Formats: sequence, structure tokens, C-alpha cells
Amino acid sequence: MVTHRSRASLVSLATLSTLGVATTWVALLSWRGFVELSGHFLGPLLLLGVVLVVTGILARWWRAPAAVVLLAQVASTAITASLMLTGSPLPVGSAWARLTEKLGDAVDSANRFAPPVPADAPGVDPILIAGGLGLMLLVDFLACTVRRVPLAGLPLLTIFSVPLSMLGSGPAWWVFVLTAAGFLAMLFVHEDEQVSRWGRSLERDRGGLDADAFGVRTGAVRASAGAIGGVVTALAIVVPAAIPTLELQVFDWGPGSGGSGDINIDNPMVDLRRDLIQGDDDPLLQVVTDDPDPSYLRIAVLNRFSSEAWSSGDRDVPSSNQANGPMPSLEGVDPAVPRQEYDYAIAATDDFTSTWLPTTTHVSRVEAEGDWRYDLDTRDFLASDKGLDTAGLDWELTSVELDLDANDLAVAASSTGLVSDEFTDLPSGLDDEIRQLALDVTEQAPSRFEKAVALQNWFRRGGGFTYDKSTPGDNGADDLLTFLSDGPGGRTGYCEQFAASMAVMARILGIPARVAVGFLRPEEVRPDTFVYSAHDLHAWPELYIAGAGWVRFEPTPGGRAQSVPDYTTELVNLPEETDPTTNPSQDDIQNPVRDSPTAAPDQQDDNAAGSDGAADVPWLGILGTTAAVLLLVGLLLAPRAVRRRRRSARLAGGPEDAWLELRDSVRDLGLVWPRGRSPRQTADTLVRWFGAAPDEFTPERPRRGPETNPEAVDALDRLVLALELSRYAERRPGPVGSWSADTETCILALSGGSSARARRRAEWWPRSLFVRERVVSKKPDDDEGSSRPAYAGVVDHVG
Amino acid sequence: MVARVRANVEKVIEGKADVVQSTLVVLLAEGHLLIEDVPGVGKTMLSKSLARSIDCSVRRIQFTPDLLPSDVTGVSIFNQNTREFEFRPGGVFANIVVGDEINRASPKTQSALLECMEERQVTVDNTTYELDLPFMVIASQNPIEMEGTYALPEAQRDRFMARVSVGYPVEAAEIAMLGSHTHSNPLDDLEPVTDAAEIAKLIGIVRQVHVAETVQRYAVALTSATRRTEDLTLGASPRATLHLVRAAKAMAAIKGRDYVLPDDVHGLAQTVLAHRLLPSVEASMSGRSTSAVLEGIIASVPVPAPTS
Repeated sequence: MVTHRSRASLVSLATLSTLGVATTWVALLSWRGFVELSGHFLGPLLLLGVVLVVTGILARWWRAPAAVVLLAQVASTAITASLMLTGSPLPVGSAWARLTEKLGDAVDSANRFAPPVPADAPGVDPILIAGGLGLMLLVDFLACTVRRVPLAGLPLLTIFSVPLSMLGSGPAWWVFVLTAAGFLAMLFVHEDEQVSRWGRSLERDRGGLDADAFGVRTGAVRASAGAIGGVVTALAIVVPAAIPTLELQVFDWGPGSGGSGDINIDNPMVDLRRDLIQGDDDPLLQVVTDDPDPSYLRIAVLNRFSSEAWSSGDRDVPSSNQANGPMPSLEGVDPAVPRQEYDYAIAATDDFTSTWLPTTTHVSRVEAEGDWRYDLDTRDFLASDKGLDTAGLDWELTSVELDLDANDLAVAASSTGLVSDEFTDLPSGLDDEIRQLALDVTEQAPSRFEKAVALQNWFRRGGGFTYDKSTPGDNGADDLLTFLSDGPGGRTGYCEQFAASMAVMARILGIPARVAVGFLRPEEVRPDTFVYSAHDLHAWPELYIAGAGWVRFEPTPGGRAQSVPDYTTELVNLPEETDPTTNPSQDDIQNPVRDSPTAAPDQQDDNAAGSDGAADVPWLGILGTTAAVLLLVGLLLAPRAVRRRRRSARLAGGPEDAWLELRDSVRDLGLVWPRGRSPRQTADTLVRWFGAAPDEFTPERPRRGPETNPEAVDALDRLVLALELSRYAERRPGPVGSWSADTETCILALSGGSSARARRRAEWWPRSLFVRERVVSKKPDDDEGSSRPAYAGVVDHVG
Repeated sequence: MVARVRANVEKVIEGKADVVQSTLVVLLAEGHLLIEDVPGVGKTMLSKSLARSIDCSVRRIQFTPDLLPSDVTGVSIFNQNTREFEFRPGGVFANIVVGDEINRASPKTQSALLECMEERQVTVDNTTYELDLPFMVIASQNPIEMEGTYALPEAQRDRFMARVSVGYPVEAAEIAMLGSHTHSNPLDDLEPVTDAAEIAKLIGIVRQVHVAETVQRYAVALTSATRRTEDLTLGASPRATLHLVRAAKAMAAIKGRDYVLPDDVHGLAQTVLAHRLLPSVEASMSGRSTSAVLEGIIASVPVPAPTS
């Protein structure tokens, strides 16, 4: 019978292993979006999967321990992978050089290209193969080696989450369906085998491995399981498709967030132009601050660029985003960036009527009266009450001034995925001339930041621009084309055109950009008190650099804006970098990797985004996700490891330690350790829970009692005797560690008498680690107070 | 030795191994035994068989209402030949004194015996006579409800280390008894298996048995609990604690150990403590016997954990 059972178990394991690896492979189809030629990693992964399954089957056939099975699988797949990548089974000597070269190329490509990585670039396949293989091994380990099939769903989910976070798109529906079906089949095979161990297996003996021999539970149970699985999978596909059409905002508290929670804002640029050009230079804001050099004060941010104009786009201002205290941490700013905080107390005159609340670019606290709310993406503040504006308003804030370093900015990673795509959107009809100009101006700048600096310098010095407030300009695509052209009427404008043009050109280069509108520089009227007036109104571009968040640039020439941010004048001192202050207009040097200027606008845009970016590193996400999975697995395995270490430490100790270990093992199994009993009484209870040592075929409810395991009963007697000698005879019963074997025998017997579920729980979630026993018992005499008898006096008389 | 005595006694008293064991424990712990049961269940037989098994002096005193204290302790008689007063020892001068139906004697006589038990000496006419070791009184009494009896006062019951009830034999033992007792008296065939010197030596060994501080605490916890419970009007005395630990030492020695376990203590608690306790009216009214109350206390008092 045992032979039949073990063979059946092996067949079931082989099926499970095959299903697990196949399901993982199918799930890995969702990674196709990373490369143009997905066969380059899917093919090898399929072969590796076959090797993994065959190795697993052979190792289990030999009844190798779990660790050996895993080691064999890792070794065999590593050899195969090495053979495929380097042509040698072992990565030594020249093969090692080839392997490191391939991996280096892969990392390089990952850094250089946005997905999908082009077919003619060095492939990132080694990374994908390594990641995929690791996940296959994990799924097989969880499902077949430690028999936790439900847990195998976690790595499968991880596979889906990687493209979701990197590419912004989930798996194709058919990939999901196939994966879900595979996972359900794994669960089914596993549970099927569990169920088959219930009760007698006489029919199985007679009928061999024929599944029909299981009789009653075949038809109906399987049909029900299949139906449930099918319905759940279908719902998982259909329901999410329906959800986005639902109105999710159940409560609508504030007047400013009706409907979808967005507020459409009028264009502040119009007000800027009117006040700056046509109005008088009336004082608008008075600021009292400990900041020795207050400058840019931002009113609003313009996110959206259509071919007509820059506009503020939509804002999401839920009632939780009220400006009445501390603000969320600065968006995208590395905590390591040095910073200085200053307090501002701002008072607006009655002339300054704005539904936007002026603040500095980075704030850690804002307190304003009324329902002012902020948008988390733009960090600008707007009135969500009708009739609320800044006229006569006082408010306070804590400004955060960052000390940015040009070198750090120059080596910043890609900002892809860190901010909304809205910040790189360009109208499809944007003139190719602007695109070409952007590429030409920044041609010699290697990094994103240096390209931005090159643009700024070009506007201020190299491009031949003139500041002129009287320009009747606007900021639509055609207006900018005129502004940027060196023909009649070109290269003349005021801050609006400079800021808008630089933001557009930055977007062309794949750098997220927006236009900020606010005040340029105040006049100091007395110590610590400054006044911003109407003619200080200004516009400037903000570009997103990873690690530094939104970084201000100043393209408007010196006639208006005297200085530029310090970090844009620092020399970038990195190997192979050119001096960022070099005049970038000497455009006679052609960059060989630059895309053809005749490329279609969309494609060119994509390529610009991809090729400029030494910083495009979506693959970091893969490493992050893998680290997260490893951490999760580590957390799942930690209690077991801690418990094992504790056990081995105790087993090496004296009888008290062994007894403690026995107690904790009893608790781990969900049994109740008798409290306040003598060792013998406790032992009498324990032997009733003893069962035969568990093996692969221990039934779900094993037989219990001292007669099931006389050897363990003897072991327990020896342990009790040693404990009594040490406790009551005050004699050392033997060298430490002598009870290790006896204790283990007892623990094994207790496991054998417990259900499989209790054993699993004891192994993976030992409750003795988490539930601390209350300190025993009040002493019986505690409440007697002064009448407590002096027992020592009595007993001292005893012989 | 203990096994031999036990086997010997069990030839006569069938199916009462625990009673025989308690008797031996009391003997080795230098205590006195009170056997309480209805007539005819073998109280006297038990006492006699134990006495016969040990080659030592044995006296039997049949307590009757007219028995005088001097019958127990002894009396000085004028010897006309020597013209001196001569002490004639009473029934108590023996290694094992079997006091039958002690509750039929007058309280005065009972007191005389109980004083000897405690003092292990007899004083007559200003002369003190030491009693030999081992000295053990095995007193039997009928339940106090029987007519013509004088119940032992609590203070005197406290002097007995243990009380046992023989109880009715099981059916098979009773049938076996019919076979062995109808033709002859089995006591006649009983040969001594040990002697007083050996018993004294064993008593010395028992005195050496180690009692850990944890076990002492446990014994005190048990007796203290009897004083606190509302179900008892009279709890166990400090003498009871002393007896309990002594009995536990004897039990440990009988089982071949030179140290006492908590199990020895709670195993003997019923035998050693129950006869000293008086149930409260509420407990009596609700039908709870002293034994049941004590059983509850034993179950509720935890064995102290080791201090280290």
C-alpha cells in the first residue's frame, strides 16, 4: 500500500511541479512589453523550466531532503543558463568574462532605453531570464517542496506587478486567464491529493493509480471545484473592467470637490499678463520672514500644454488636503538633500484678489484661514469656497529651501513613472522645428540636468533673445514657434514666452516640465519685511529631476531676472562630461546616436525620451520588487528560523531547558500545557497526546495515546526523572545536552499525535514565539497578609 | 524489606494494597495510624498482620468503657517480697500497640494513650519510662455514629499522622477471603519478615531524605489553603504540615528515592490531612464531604515553579 501511495504522491508532485513552472512561464508572458523580441528570454526560460521540473522529479524520486532538491534545481538550471549565455556549463575563465560582459550590457541597456528595449540594442534578456528563473524556482519550492500551494500565488502576483508598475499596463486578459487557470489547477491537484488521504484507501490498493478508484468524490466534487474556479476567474476579469465607470466618491463634503473631485481652473497666465504689463506697480503682498533673501513666490502651476496655450489643467483637492497645518513630505525630494527652513508671515492687500494662495515652491507647513486646499501633484493652493480669495488675507507658512548640487542633479536617475505623464505631454501638431531646435541646443549636454542648463543658458545668453514686455505674445504652439524663430519678430518676448518655451523644449527632451506663475523678487522695506508688487509678477519653468523633485530654472534674460539658481551655474564635475556652460549653439558637431531629424514626431519624441536618458532606469523597479518579494519570503520564514534556533539552543542545555522546549513545542501544536502541575502529572497528560512519529502518510487525525509510541513514553520518563533530580534532589542529573534526543523523540511523538494542520502551524507560525505565558499564578499565601504562616519554621524541623 | 512486609500483610488483607502502603508509610515516618471503618472489614486484622510481620513486641489493648488509664500506661504495685514498689508496664510498652475500638474508651483513658503517643514516654509516680523505637500506635475506631462510642476530639485526632479506611473488599477479594479464612486463621501462618532493628534503621534512612525548598513551599501551600477555604471550619494545623512532609519522605524512601517529589505530597494529602479537617455547615448542607473539599484544594494549588 505504501508503494502505491508513494508512487501516487510522486506522480501528483510531478504534475504539481509541471503545472507550477508552466503557470509561471505563462505569467512571465506579461513581461513581453519590456523588449521588442520577447522570444529571446521566453525561449530560454521555457527550457530552464523543463530542466527545473525534470531535476525536481528525479531528486524527489530519490527522496532527497527539501534542501537538496532545491540545491539540485538551482545547480542544474544555473548550469543550463550558463551554457546558454556563455557557451560553457561553468562560468569560469573566459566564460566568466563573457557572462559579466553580457550582464553589464544588459544593465547598460536597461539604463539607457525605455521599454521596450529595441531589438538592435544589447539585450536585457539576461536580467529577465535571471528574474524569471528565480520566480520559477520560488513557485516550485513553495508548491512542491514545502507544499504551500496557496503561497505560490504571491510570486505569480509579483510577476504581474512588475509590468504594472514599470509599464503602466497590466497583463493581457488571456495571460491572466491562463495564469489563473494554472494556479487553480495547482490548488486542485494539491487538495485532491490531500483529500485522497482521508479514510481508508482500499479501493486505491485494488485499483492502482486509477483516479476512478476513488469512487464517490470524483464527479460532483470536481465539477463543483471547476465551476467555482471558472466563475471566480471570470468575475476577476469582468468586475475590474466595470469598476472605473462607477462613481467612487460616495461623500461630497466640500463645495470645491463636487462631482469627480476635480476643479477646472481659469488660466492665471491671463491675469499675469494683465497685471504685469498693463497695471500699476501696486504693492500686493507684505512678507515678514527670517529668510535673509526671499525670492520666488509661486501662485499657481500650469501643467497642461495644448497647441493654444499653457493652462493649469485639473486639480484634485479632497477635503483632507486642507492648508491648515503640516504638509506632506516634499514630492520627489531625496531626504538626503540639505535644506533650510524659514518662517513666512504673508499679508495680502485688498488689491490682490486671487483664488490661488501664493507660497514658496517647497513648504512644510501652511496655515491659512478659510477652505484653502492643495493639490498633491502640483502643491499649489486654491480656494475651494466660492467667494474665498486672498484679498486682505493673512497666512503663514514654513518654507523649505533646498541646497541642490549640480553633480547630484547631473547623475539623477530617470524620472519615468515618478510623475504623471501629463508633464511630458505635447500636442501632436507641434512643429518639428521646435523639436529639432531643442535637440540641437542640448546636443552636447550628456545628462538631463545639463540639457536643462544648456536650454536656460541658450535663452539667457547664447540664443540672442531680447526681453521686451511690450510683445503682444501668447504661449500657444504657434506663438512659441514665432518666439523661437530667428526671423522678424522672433526671439523677443517676456517671461511668459521664455518660461513656456523652455518647458516645451524640456518636454521634447523627455524631461517632465511645467510653468510656474508667481512673484520674482520683493523689495525690502525694513529689516525682515518685504513687499511684492504687481510688477514683480513672473513666470518660470520647473523641471522634474529625480531625487530633487521640481527644480526651478530661469531662462528669462538678465534685464528682467538678474540671477539664475546657483546650481545651474556650478560646474558639473563628472568624468566624460562637458562643461555645461559651454555655448551649446555650436551645432556643427553631429551626435552619431542622435535620431534622424526626419523621424516622425511621435517616434522622435519617444526616442528622445529613451536615448537622452542615461537616467531611464525602469529596471531598478525589478530589483526593488524582487527585494520586496525576498523580504516577504524572509518574513514568512523568520518565525520558523527563530524557533529552530531557540530549540537547538535549549536542546544543548540542561533538563530545565529541555522541559521548556517541550512546553513550547506543546504550545506550538495548539495544545494546552498543564499549568501548576508537577513534572509527573504533566507527563501523564502529555503521553495522552503522543502518536507515532509523523511521516508523509500520517492521517489528518492520527491515533493518540501512550500505547502508540512506547519509545517516546520511555524518553519522557527519562526526561522527567532528570528534571526531578535537578529540581528536587538538587543533583546534576548528567552532562548538559544529554536529553536532546529524548526531548526530540517526545516532540516528534507530540507532532505525530497532532493534526497535519497543527503541525504546519507549529512549523511556520509557532505560537510560543508570539504568546507569552502569564507569569505563573499568584502565590497561594499572597492574600493572607500578616497572618501568613512562617512555613520555614515548621518545615525546618523536618528530618 | 518494605516489599516483603507488604506482601506478607497482603496475604491476610486482600485487595487493599493502598491501605497497606499507607500503614507502612506511617510506620517509617514515626507516626501513628488511625483506622476508621465499620466493624468487620478487617481493621484489627490489618493491625495484627502488620505486627506479626515484624519481629517486635506487640501489645493489643481492647478499649472498653471501663478501661482505666493505668491499664494503658502501667502501674506501680507494692511487691511484698522485695517490699518495694514495682512498675508493671501497661499495654503501651511495645513497639507496635494495637488499640482496638479506641472510641469505646472513656475520654480519660483515650487521653492517657494519646499523651504517650505524642511524648513517646510514660511517666508514672514521677518516674519517666522511655518507649522503644519503633513505636507505633495503630488505633481503630468505629464511625462515631455507632452507639456507645466517645468521639475522639479534634485535638486528639490531630495526633494521628494518618487515617485510613479499610473499606469493603471487592467481590473477588471477598470470595478469596472465604476460601482462606474459613478453615483456619491466616494470621497463624504469618511469619515475621523483618525485625525492630531493621525498622529503626529504615526510620533513620527516612530522616535523611531530602526535601527541596520548592516541595516545602508546596506542602505549606496545601495546608494553608485548607485554612483559607470557606468550606472548612477547621483547617490543617502546622503539625499536619509536619506530618505531611514526614509521610512524604517515607513515601519517597519506600519508592527508592532520597528526595521528595510534589507528587508524594499531594498523593498523601488525603490520607494525612482529611481526618483533621471539619467541613463548614454550608459544605455539609450541600453534600460536600471533607474529602471532596480537600480534593478540590489539591487540584487548585499549583506546584511551585523552580525559583531559579
